[in-house]
Parts: sequence; C-alpha cells; structure tokens
Amino acid sequence: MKHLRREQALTAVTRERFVLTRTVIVALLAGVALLALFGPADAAAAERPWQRLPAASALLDGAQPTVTGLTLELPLVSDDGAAVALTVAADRPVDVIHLFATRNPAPEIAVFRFLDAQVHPRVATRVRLNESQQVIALARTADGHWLATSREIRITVSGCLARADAPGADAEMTPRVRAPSRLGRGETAELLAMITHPMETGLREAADGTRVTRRLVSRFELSLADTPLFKAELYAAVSANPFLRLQWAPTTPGELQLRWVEDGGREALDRSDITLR
Amino acid sequence: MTPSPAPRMPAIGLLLSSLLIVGGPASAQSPEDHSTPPALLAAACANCHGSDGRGAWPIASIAGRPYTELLRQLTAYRNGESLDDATVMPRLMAGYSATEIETLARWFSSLPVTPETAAETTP
Amino acid sequence: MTRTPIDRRQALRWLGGAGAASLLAACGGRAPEASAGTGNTASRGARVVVIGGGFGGATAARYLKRLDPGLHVTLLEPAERFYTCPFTNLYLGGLREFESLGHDYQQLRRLGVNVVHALAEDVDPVGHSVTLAGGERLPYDRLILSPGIDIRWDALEGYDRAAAELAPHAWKAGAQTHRLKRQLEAMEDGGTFVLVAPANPFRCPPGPYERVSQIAHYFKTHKPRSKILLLDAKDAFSKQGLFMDGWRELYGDMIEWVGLSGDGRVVRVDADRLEVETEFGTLHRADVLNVVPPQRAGFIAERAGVTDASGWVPVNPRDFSSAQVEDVYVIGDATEAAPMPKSGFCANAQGKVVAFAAAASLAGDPAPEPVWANTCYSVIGPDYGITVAGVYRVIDGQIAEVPGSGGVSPRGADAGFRRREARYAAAWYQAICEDTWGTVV
Repeated sequence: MKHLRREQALTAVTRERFVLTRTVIVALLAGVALLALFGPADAAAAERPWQRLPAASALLDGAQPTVTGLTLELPLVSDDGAAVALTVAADRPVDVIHLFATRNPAPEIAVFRFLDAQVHPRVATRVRLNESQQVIALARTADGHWLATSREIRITVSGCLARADAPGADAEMTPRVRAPSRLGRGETAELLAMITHPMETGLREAADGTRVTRRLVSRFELSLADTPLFKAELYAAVSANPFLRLQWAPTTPGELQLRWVEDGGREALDRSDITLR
Repeated sequence: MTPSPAPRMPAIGLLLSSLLIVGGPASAQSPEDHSTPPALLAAACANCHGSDGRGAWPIASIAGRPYTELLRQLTAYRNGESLDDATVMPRLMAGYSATEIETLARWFSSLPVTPETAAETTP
Repeated sequence: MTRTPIDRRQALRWLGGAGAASLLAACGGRAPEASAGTGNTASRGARVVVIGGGFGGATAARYLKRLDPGLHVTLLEPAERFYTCPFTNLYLGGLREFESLGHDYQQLRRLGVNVVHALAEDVDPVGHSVTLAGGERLPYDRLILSPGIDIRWDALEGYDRAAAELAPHAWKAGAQTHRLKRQLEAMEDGGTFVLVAPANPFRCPPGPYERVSQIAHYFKTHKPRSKILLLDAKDAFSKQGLFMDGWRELYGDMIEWVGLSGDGRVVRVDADRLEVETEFGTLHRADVLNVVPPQRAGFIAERAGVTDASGWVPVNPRDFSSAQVEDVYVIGDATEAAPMPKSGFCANAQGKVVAFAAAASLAGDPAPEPVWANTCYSVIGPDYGITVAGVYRVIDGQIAEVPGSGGVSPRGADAGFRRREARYAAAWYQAICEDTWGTVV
C-alpha cells in the first residue's frame, strides 16, 4: 500500500546554502582556470576530458583516477538533446558519483551520493545536452580513490523532432514512484522515481521575450526506516520531470521515503511501506 | 497509358565525369556556393516533381517552363514569399544558394514539357 | 554565365538525347574515352549489387542506370511487388486501396537493371560477394545496402513474433497491415485502440501520429464512440503541435496522448490479454493493440559488418559509404543519418547521392558534394495535411540541416492551406514512386 502526500514548506536556509555552494564553486573554477593558464603544463594529463574540464579537475584536485570500473551508457547519437537516457554504474562500492557535460552552459549534471550499501552504484536518469560533447563521470570510493570515465555523444538538431509546448498533464511536484512493496531480504529490485517539474534553467525566454526564472528540483533524498540510503543533487542539465532509476536490495522493512526539494524550498514527499519476506 | 521510359532514358551515356567537372567552377564563385553537380542538385526536386520535372497535379510540372519564370519563382520562395498555392517551397528553397537556384531554373527549363517531345527537343 | 550551355546540355543528356562528343567538348576537353559510363574502362562493366528494392535501393539502382547505362546493376529484392509503408496509414483510415501502394520492377528491368527476386543471406566484404538464400554467390565491385529495418524482438518484454500475430506492429507493409485493418474492422463501436510508440530512433518519426489520425478518421466515420490511446516513450514527437491541433479540430477528444513524463513508456506487453504495462506500473487494456516496437537495421547490414553497437549503420556523411567496410554504401532507415529522419523520402534522396558517389568511385573520381531534401507529409484527415521539410548538407564534416531552411507547416494556417497539403501529399506519393520504381500509380 502506498500513500502519497505532498508537503510544501519554504525553507530559506536551503536557498542560501545553494547560493553559497555556487559561490564556492565559482571561486574554485576561477582558481583552476588560473592554474591552467599559469601552472606547469602536463600534456599527457591534459588529454583526459576530466583534466580539461575545470569543474571536474577541481574535484579531483590532482588525483589520478582509475579509468576502469566506471561505465557510462549513452546513445552514440541523439535526436533530442532535451532528454537523453543516461546510465552510470560502478563495479565496486562508491560513496559518490559526479556527472558533467563538457559543453553545456554549466558543466554540472548531477551528484549521486550512496549513503548505504542497500543502494547499488547504478543510476539511470535523463539529461539535457545542448550540443555534441563529452559526458564525464567521476566516482569516489570510501578510501578516497577516484574512478573516471567519459563518453562522446552527438546531438543533432532536427526540425522534424521539434517539441511542442510542454503538455501540462499533471500538476507540478506530483511524484510518481515504482517500488516493490514486498520482496525478499537482500533481493535486488528496481526503484523508479519521477516528479513533474519544468526544471527551468533560467536561460529560456518566454513568449513575451522575458527570461523565465531559474527554478529546479535540486535535491532528492531516499530513506528506508529512517536510514538515509541515497541523495542526489540535480542541476539544470537534468531533464524536465526528473527521473531516477536505482537498484537496491533492502535489508530492513519499514517506511520508504522519497523527498524532492525545489531550490526555493518547496517539497514533495512520497511514503510507502516495504515488507520483507 | 504509361509511356515507355526507354526513349527518355539515357540511351547514350550520361558522362559522369563531365557532370562532376561542372561542379568545379561553381565552388569558386562564392563562399556559399556548393559544388553539387546540376543533375544531383535537380534530383532532389524529383521526389515531388517527378524524375523529369513533370509533377502530378496539383504539384507543379516544372519541365520546360521558361527560365526567367522559374528563376523569379524560386528566388521569391527563397526570400520567404509564398507564391500561388505553395506550402513547402519557401522552407525548401531557403536551403539553396542563389547560384544553385539559377542552376535549377536552367536545368528544368531545358527539360521537355512532355515525354513525347523529348526526342524532338534533343539535338 | 558560362555554365549555362553546360547545364542545358546536361539536362538534355539526362533525358538521353545529347551526343557524347559535344558534351565532353563543353567540359574542358576530356576525351570521351576518359569519361565514366560509355567510355571509361575503369567503370565499364563494373558490377554494382543493390540489396533491397524499397525507396532507397530501387532509387539507387534506377539512378545508377540512368547515370551510366554501361554499369551492371543487380537489384536483390525478395518481393515481386513492393508495398510501401508510406500511405499504409491512409489504407487503415479508408482513404486508399492497399493495391495502390504496390509497385513492381518492370520499369527498372526495362532500364536494364537485373532484378533478382531473392533474399540476400550473407555478404563477404573481403571477397566482394553476396550470397543468396539459394547459395548462389554474386560478385560485386560496389555494394549498396538498403535493408530497411528489422524488429528487435528481444527489446520489449512480451513482444515477440507470436505476440505480433495478436497485437500487430504493422510497421512493414503487408500481412501485418492487413491484420491490423481486420482487427479495426472487427472492433465494436465504443472500443479502445491503443498504439504503443517507441523511443527514437525508429522508422518514420511522424508515422505513429499519422496512424492514430487515420484510425480516428475511420472511427469517426464508422465507430464514433471509440477511443484512441497513444502511449509514447517520448516527451516530444515530430510535428507535435500540428498533430495535436489537428486532432482537436477533427476528432475532438477521441485521441489521448500520454508521453514519457506522463508514464507513457510501455515496458511489458501481454498480447493474449491485449494489455500493456507502463514504466510506473499502470495497466492499459485495449480492444485493438498496435505495438510499434524498437527497431534496428535490417539483418543483412549486420551480416555485412556495417552496424555498430546501436544496431544501426554509421556512414560517412559525404557519400553514405560504410564507416566500417570498404566498397559498401548503406542508405535508408538502416543508417545513422540524423538529423535526416528515417523516411522513404530521405531513403530516395540518399539513393541518388549514393548512385552518383558509387559511379564516381568506379570512375576513380571523388564523390560529388551532396545535398539532400526531405518533405514528410502526414495526412490527419481527408482534407487536412501537414508537412515537415528540411534541406541537409555536410557541414563541418557532419550531416546538418541548413540553417534557416526547413521546418513545419505554420500553426494556425487556414483550412485551404491544410487542404492543399493533403492534395500535395497524394501527388507527392505519385511522384516519388515514379522517381523510385519508374511506376505510374
């Protein structure tokens, strides 16, 4: 049995923290850019896409990532850059996965944090890619080791597939969840989560020529029986109606909670009970 | 009745290399010009106007229409004007250069109006 | 205007009238012997094998022969009469007889194309030969593949060949089309027709939407209480705004479209129960169920080694030669030619470019600079047509839509505009079939 409930509360704190984080990132990027300009050149390292992208290399902070163990599944070519199916997976436990797009207006796509071994390091989502570019995934293991991979994708612009106005079938912040309510202890299952939201980038112009204010579902949290299992930070490069598919193997029964938080503080919550055989 | 295509097909060879050579000078004319051979350029029109420019009503038959008329009409389409009953032509012609449009006008104005006149027209 | 006489002479020669010598003189003094076609020893008697007699393959064979009658062109196509996918929706809607969609190969034979009604089973790209189902081997100097699509029977749970007998795809013209038509005719008024549309890429991007339009027309005239549900694995589709306007104008609320974000993606088909399950677990029951499943390049492409991990065929943009195998060209729905859509129109356009490129290659010349055009007509009702058009060129080494060109019919156009596009659609079908098979409908 699943019951849906939406809680809407404005938390100004979240917004401030978000702004602060952005400031820090900008400062970091500036630093990295200076280093890149004036620091010692390393031709071999510069070959790697994550070394070339300031946001990614700032994260690595000089660490040399392993290039095996992390995989990115993306189509080779996509006709529709507004929603490209992406799956990232690690072959070993990791704490966090960062996704970047090298040629989007902003490089960050999403950050996935694996807080408990019940959630496996395999996440599928749908992303926006402005043009043909490389998508980068970086993952960090518990002992601080980095894994990295990248994939080239071609985005074609076709009038044939031009989208119409977004059909507003459901109200904004309406969650949709698919999780088995009953399964075997330790049995691996899929968990699907989607929420209706335009994910306004702040770059789009309305019909009257004014800019549509940036407004994102920027956080997603998953917990079972009050134990946090997984968190995601979502950026403007995540497609409208953010979608996540996780793989998990619950070990305790209890209430499953999924929480989405808009950057303005608005929240949606989905709760259901999980029983284990 | 279905006219036999034999007389209007190339009984003599369509000398391919020469077709290709014609493309050469065009590319030197202006940066926006492409060196597509006229026969290949014109072939893109055949999907709607027929292999030899004789479209089925109500799509215009363009074979043998005067050069100046074709040029005027295609140029108008290229400039975004929707002449007569055209719907898709402005959208298509926007993808061609002025030189290409001249080539197309010349090509189709040179084709015989009917298959029956093909033999008479050819030297 | 020094090129005028050349264009003019070539145009005439295209029709088969001009003299070879006069033509060559106009082209910078190359001797007739040095030219392709009648003279060039490099291409004289060269063997080109074309696999697939649809819009791509038949066009390539026909244009090769028109370009250079000296070439030995063999077209392999199992069907003696080829039924086109374009306009099968009009048959389902009752606007067109099925037989009017069939084309034979008599005109291609008259032109000198060696048409062989056999299935190509294998390709030996090293030995340059094609093996037919009977075991016969055909050598080639250049191979042109126009294999169309195959259904991926393993890609959608519950949708296999047996399921397609109950819930047809009707995405290849023939028995499947008839099956769907019979089911629609047998359905009671007030029933629900469900169409399952796949994610990109797939054959004929506007096809599913034209299909529900035509079936809505059939329902409106025969079974007005019936409903149509379109479950889609995408949030955007070809000519979406125009289709939705047309649906509202002509069919009111008969057609309901559910996109990806509305949980429209179908993940399981139960053909026995005519039931489908979506990603988030919603069950939909149909009275007639039409599943357009995921697809890939026709199997012979894989045999020839031209497909990549996606199941489609990467090609060199300029001449549609395989990116993986030498002396093989691939055209039509099987290719990764985006932003060119997988349409019969594009297959025809690519067939011409490949005919020129293959003939040039045999003559030792580089492929000419290509240009492709596409116009996809969709007929929403008898007097209601819409289009999307595009002009494509190689820009920065990749196929791209020419900026500022192409696009869809205007939103909010008057009834006259829609009626004209419906009339043009019928004339277009006649013209492209003549251009492809030489047949007059």
